Amino acid sequence: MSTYRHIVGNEDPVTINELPADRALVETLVSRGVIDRQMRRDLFGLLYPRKSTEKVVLRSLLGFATAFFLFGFSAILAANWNDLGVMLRLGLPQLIFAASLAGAIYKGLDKFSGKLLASVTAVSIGGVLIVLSQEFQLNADAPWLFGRWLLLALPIVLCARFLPLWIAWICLLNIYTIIFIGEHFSGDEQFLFDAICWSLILISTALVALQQLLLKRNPDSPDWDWLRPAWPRLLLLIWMQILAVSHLSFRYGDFLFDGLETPAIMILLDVVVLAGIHGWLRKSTRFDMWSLLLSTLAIGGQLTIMAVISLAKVFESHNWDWELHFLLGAISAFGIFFACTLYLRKLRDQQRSATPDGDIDNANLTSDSIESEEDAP
Amino acid sequence: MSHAFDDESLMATDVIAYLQGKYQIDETQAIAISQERLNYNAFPLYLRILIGVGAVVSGGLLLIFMGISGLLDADMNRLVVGIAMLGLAIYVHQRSRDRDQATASFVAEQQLSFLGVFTGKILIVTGASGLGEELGAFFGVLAFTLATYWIYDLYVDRLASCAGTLVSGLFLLLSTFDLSAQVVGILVHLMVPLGLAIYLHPRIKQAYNPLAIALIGVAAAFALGAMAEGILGVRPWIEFFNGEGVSSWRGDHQTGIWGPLASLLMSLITCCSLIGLVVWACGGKSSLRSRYVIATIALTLLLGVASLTSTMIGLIAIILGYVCHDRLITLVGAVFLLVTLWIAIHSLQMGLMTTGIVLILASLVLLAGYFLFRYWSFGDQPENGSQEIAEEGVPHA
Repeated sequence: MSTYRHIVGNEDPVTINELPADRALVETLVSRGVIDRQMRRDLFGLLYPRKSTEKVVLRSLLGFATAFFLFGFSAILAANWNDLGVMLRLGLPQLIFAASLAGAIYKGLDKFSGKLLASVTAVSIGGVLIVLSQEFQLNADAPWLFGRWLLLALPIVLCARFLPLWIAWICLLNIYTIIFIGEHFSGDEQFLFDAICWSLILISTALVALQQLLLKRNPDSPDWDWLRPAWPRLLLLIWMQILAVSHLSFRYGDFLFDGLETPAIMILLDVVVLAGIHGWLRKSTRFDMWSLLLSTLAIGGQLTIMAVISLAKVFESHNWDWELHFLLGAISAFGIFFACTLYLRKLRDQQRSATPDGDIDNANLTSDSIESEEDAP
Repeated sequence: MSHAFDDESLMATDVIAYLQGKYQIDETQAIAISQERLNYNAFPLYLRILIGVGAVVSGGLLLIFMGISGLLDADMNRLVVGIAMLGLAIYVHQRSRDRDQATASFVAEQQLSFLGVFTGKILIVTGASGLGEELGAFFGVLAFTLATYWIYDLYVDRLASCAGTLVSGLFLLLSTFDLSAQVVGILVHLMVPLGLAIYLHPRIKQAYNPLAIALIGVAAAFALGAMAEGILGVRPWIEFFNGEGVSSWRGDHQTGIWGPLASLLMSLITCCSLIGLVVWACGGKSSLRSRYVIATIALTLLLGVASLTSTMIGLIAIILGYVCHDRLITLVGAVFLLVTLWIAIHSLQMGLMTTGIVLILASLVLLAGYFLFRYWSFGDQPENGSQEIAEEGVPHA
C-alpha cells in the first residue's frame, strides 16, 4: 500500500484491485514459493518497462543539469551586476522577455513548453520594470510597480490559458489590493481592515463566479478544458474562508468588548460568506468530501473562537476566575468538533447512499480477512 | 481486470491474473499474500482530521486550564497526570474498537481518546524531561511510543512518535553521554540501511513502515544539518588540509584526521545503502553486469567522494518510491534532494561568483551523466539485451 493511501485511509474497504504490484510483492510471492525465479524475472520485465525507466532517468538528469546551469548563470550575473554597464543591465531582462515571448509564439500556447515560456514572459515584465525604475530612479513605489506589472502581464495571462500563471497573477492582484488600500485610503485601522478583507473576498468571489459562468456556458467545449480543474477554485475558496474567519473573529471580539462601534452587518456578511460557501459546495460539488471538510473546519473553528470570546466576555463581566473559562472553552471546543464530525459523517453516508454502485467491484476480494493484517507475517 | 498491462502502475490483481494465465500458479495463495500487504483503515482521513483538530483545540485549552489552576506546577504531577490521561485514552480506544462505527458514541470515544493521547503525551514528555532532563525526555517519549504504536493504527502518529524517540535519543547521546557529533553521525547513518531493511523485507509487516520512514527521515535531517554545519561534505577535508580543525555542534573545533575520516565513513555507509538498494531493485547480484547498475554505482561513488550523504538519502527516497510505486516518497525525496543540493552549495560559503562557477561545473557533470546513460547504459545494449537483463532479474532499469 502506498504511503499516501496509508496516511489518508480509505473510503471503502481496500481490495487488492487497488494494491499496486511492486518489487516487494514479487519478492514475497517468491519467498512463499508461489512463483519461481523464471516467473520473477518475467514479472520484473512487466512491472518496470525499460523504456519508461530510461525516460525518467534521462529527463531527471537533463532537468537537474538545466536548473544548475540557470542558477549558476544567475549567480555569476548577480555577482557582476554593477560591472555590467547600463546597456547590459537594461538589456538583459528585456532580452529574456523578448526571447521567452518569441519562444512561446514559436512553440505555440497549446503546448506545455509554450505555456511555460509565456509564464517566463509574464514574470520577466516585473524584472524589466524593476530594472527600469532602478536605473532611471523613477521613485516608483510598490503600487506603481505592481499596478503596471498586473496590467502589462494581463494580455499574456489571458492568452496563455495556464492555471498556475493565473494563480500567480491573482496572488499579485491580492498584494496590489492590500498595498493600494493601505496607501490610498485614510481612516482608522478597523476601516482599513474591513476594506482589505472585503475587497479580497469580493475579488475571489468574482473570479470563482466567472469560472463557473464560463464553464456553464461552455460545458462540452474542449477550448475551456484548461479551466475545468477544481484545484484553483478550492484555493480561492480556502482563501475566502480564511479571510472571513479572521475578519469575523476580530470584529466579533470588537463587538463584544468595545461596544456597538462595529456594525452588525459586517459580522452578518462574514456569516453569509461561510454559510454560502458551504451550501454551494454541498450543492455544486456533489459531496466532494475534502472541500466540505475544509468548509466544516472553517465553520467549526469559527464557532469555537466565538464561543471562547463569548465566555471571556461573560467571565469578565462577572469577575469570575479565569481558569474555569479555559475549562468551559475546552468543553465547548470538544462539543463543537464532535458535532462537526457527526455532520460530516452524515454527509458521507448521504454520498454513499446516493452512489450504491460506487462501491467495490470485487466483493470477494475486500474482506474482513484484511483486518487480520497486523497479525500476518 | 481493472488495469491494462500497458498502464504505468500495475495492480496486484493484474499480476496475479497474468501469472495464472501464463504459469497456472496457486491463485488463492497469491491473493492471500497480496491481502496481507494491505493496511485496512476504514475511518477516512477527513473525519480523523476533524476529530484530531477538535482534540488538539480542546486539549490545548484543557492544558491551559490545568496550568493556570496549578495542577501542573510540579514535574511529578505532570508525569502522573500524563500517564493517567494516556492510560485512560488507551482504555477508551480499546473499548471503542468493538463498537459500531456508525454510532455517535464511537465518534465521541475516538475524540476523547485522541484528546487523552495528545495531552497525555505532552504532559509525559514535559514531566519526564523536568525530572530527568534528556534521559527523562527520551524514556518518556520511548514509553508512550511503545504504549501506543500497536494500539493506534495512525500512520502520522506512529511516524511522529518514532521520530520523536529517535530525536530525543540523539540529544541524549550528544548531551548526556557527551558523544562527539562524528560518532553520533556514524550511528545515525546506520539507521538508513536499517530503515531500508524494515521497509523492504518481505517478511516485515506493513505496520512498521512508519518506523522505517522515521529512521530514514531522521537520518536525512541529521545529514542535512551536519552538512550545513560543516561536519559532513567537502568542508571537513578543506578545514583539515588548511589545518583549521573540523567544526562541531558544540562550537569547538576538533583537529586531526578523525573528523574527515568519520565523514568518509558516514558517506561509505550511505553509499553502500544506495548501491544495495539499486542492486536489490535491479534483481540482486546478477544485475552487477548491467551497464545501468555500473553507471549508477559510478555516480554514487562520485557523490560519496564529496560526502554528500543527505543528497544520497534523497536519491534513496526517490529510488525507493519508484521501485515500490510510492509517489509520495518519490516526491518527498525529490524535494529533499533539491534542498540538500542548495544547502550543499551554500554551506561551502564561497561567495556568488565561485558558487556560480561551481553550479555550472556541476551542471556539466550532470550533462556528462546524461550522455553516459543515454549512449552507453541505454543506447549500446545488444538487440536481445532487454531480454538478457530481464532474465537476470533486472527490472529493465
